[in-house]
Amino acid sequence: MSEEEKKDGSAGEQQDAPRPDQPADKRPEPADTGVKPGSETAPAKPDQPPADQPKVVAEPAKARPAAKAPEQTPGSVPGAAGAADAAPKPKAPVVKKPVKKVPTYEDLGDEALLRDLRDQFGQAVISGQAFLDQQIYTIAADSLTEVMVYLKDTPKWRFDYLVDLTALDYLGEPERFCMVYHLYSNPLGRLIRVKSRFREDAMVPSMSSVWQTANWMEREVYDMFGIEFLGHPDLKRILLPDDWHGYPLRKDYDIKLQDQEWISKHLRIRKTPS
Amino acid sequence: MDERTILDAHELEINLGPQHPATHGVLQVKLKLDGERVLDAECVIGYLHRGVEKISENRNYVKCVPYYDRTDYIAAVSNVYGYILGVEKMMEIEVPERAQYIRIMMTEFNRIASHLLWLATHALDIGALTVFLYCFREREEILKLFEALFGARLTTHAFRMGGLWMDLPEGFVDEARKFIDDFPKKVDEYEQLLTNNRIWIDRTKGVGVISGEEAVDFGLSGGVLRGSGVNYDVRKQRPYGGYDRFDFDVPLGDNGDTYDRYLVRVEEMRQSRRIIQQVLDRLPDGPIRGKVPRVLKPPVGEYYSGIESPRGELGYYIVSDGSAVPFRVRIRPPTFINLQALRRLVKGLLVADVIAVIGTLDVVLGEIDR
Amino acid sequence: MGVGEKDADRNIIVTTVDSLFNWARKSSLWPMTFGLACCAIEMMATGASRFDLDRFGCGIFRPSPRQADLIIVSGTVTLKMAEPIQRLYDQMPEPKWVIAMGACASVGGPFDTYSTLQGVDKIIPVDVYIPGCPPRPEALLYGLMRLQDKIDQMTISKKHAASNQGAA
Repeated sequence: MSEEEKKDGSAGEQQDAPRPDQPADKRPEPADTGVKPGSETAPAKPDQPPADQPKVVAEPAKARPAAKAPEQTPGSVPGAAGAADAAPKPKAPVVKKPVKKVPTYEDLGDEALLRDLRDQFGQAVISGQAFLDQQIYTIAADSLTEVMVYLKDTPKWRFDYLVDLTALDYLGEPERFCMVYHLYSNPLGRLIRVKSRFREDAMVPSMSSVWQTANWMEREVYDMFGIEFLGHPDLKRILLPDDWHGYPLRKDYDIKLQDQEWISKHLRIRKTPS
Repeated sequence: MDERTILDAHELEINLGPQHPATHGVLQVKLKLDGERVLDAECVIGYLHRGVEKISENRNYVKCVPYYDRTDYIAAVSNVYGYILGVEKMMEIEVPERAQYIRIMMTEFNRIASHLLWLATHALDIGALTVFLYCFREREEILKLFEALFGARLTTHAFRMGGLWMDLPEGFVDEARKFIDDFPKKVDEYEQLLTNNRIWIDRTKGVGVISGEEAVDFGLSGGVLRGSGVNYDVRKQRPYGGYDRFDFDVPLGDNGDTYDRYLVRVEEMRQSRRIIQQVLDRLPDGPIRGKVPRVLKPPVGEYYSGIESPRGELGYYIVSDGSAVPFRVRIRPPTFINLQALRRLVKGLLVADVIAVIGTLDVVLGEIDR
Repeated sequence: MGVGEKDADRNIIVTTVDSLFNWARKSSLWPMTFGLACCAIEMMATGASRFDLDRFGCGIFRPSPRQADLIIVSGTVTLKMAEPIQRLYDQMPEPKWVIAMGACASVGGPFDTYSTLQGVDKIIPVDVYIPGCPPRPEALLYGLMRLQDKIDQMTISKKHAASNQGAA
């Protein structure tokens, strides 16, 4: 996964390699940048007037893969390679395509909320990051309740609206489950995400005493992941039948796996004509 | 069993649903009654749980889209919009302006269609059958427009990554204009039938009251929250897809009862019509689809994309691990969270009011159960 | 059905009674309100004014299964819901028919998952399957008319009664 990212990053675009059999006019950008008229002379038609740009671009682009196909490896970007080989090395292309930066997690640095949380809770605040201008705060498992209560009650922040509560399953890691909370502050108009990692058999503190919204959402997380919540008033299954076995959204639960014991107990399956 | 007969019992447990004409789907409510008064109501859901979130982990980003049509099937167009906006943001795909305008227009048409269906079923449950037929008449006009552009009436797979699949067909703009020119008269017709109707007021005023603060604590959104006076509309707080270019008001209620929620939603229909009018007046020309790579592989990361569906804040929390298949797509269903408040809303009401409250919460079981 | 049985060998009488009964049954099929998911919305639209179901005699949706003779299973049948469906079907009096409307009710539709029953015919016998996701109202009306044709084939004489009910 990271290898593909690196390759995409180096090409500057997140596109697949254009296939040689694609018609030239559907070819993505890298093929076009190589043959802008005026930058370097394309081998096929050097005297084409600039107004005919599409034709000029099409012809040499078509000619290139025929020559380069055996040398192309999947995943390489033939545009850049082709342009370098097909035409005399340009001094500098006329139009420089801006290198697109792939969005990544960035550290929040000295952001106000992060600073405030670190002042209050110190080491419990593991990190503060931003991804595509949405802020993510990772909190240690044992201080989760205090941080949430602080975020809700402090007049400065007033995150009074719990937008969403869910979990992620990282099968194979020691801290398997990650609880994800989205909080919104009506006075500030600000949405943040709070995450916290838990071990598989750990009990997660329930947020239903902090926000009443959390009640059913935690029941759903229990139903789908099997995570138990400490202090929940009524923890039982909500979407699946009460006596179902298994937790479907875990990564080791097959999507088509039906609880045959439950079926034989509750349903009378007919013999259908096939 | 002790000596008491059923006549001595103070508490009667009655089952409402899952097959019931007024539960808007397969919802079961276990009521504890004292005569006609409700002491407690426990909702049992999950009769339509199809595993959409698990399916999302097994299909690539584009193939997931038709499943989200089928969660909130009444507002299928705007459902898909939230998810597609999220993926476009992660992949940093640019959507051309014409496509943005058309998307907003179709989403607002869908808001009107959804509110029409809400009004039709809500009024039907309370006993006004005429309103059902009138609202469906208008809804059919909108579904004709959907069919012209998307090819399907209900579960449309409306938008594609990067824009639209097809440009507006011939005559679409005229048909749309004809509809919205005619529409205010129709809304007036519904209001004439209901707003000052003695029976309607008796059935809905003071029923299912919830204060603004409690509504926020319960995480309510949409018409239910705005009926209690809280000004929270995702289109205004966190504008998406170009909504900040259009002029519209967000109606708010005062008392937080069923009557106010009804007024709020009827006014929302009018405001949606206003937005569509502006779109049609300013619709630019241009391409309808931006540049999209052949295989969608968002970078490693996560994004929460929240939109204002007719029912509330619909959110898609998309977690990507860099492959062509999402790691997790979590749908934040507004009606699931709204329905939680049912227990609090119906305490002390009559059984018939329970039906009115279920209607006013505007539940769609497909979205609740996913 | 004593009337028809006695005269079962004199074909002409049974046929007339048959066609009378069949006409009465097919022209007043009272469905039960049984909308599960998206197809239910199209069923409601079929019942509304544009594609009027009432002109087929089908317009009265009975909430109680004891008063209905047609169940239109419209929408995905999950395992949790399958139990109530079985119970409701058992509560309906004979003669009764089942229409599986939509892809989900017919074969499970696009939802091949841990919680979905792949087709309602796994628990109750189905007479007419209507494909579509959701099927257009016209498709539902066509399915209804095919069911009416099927009812036309019915006979009240016990000898041939095996051909009456559902898919065996």
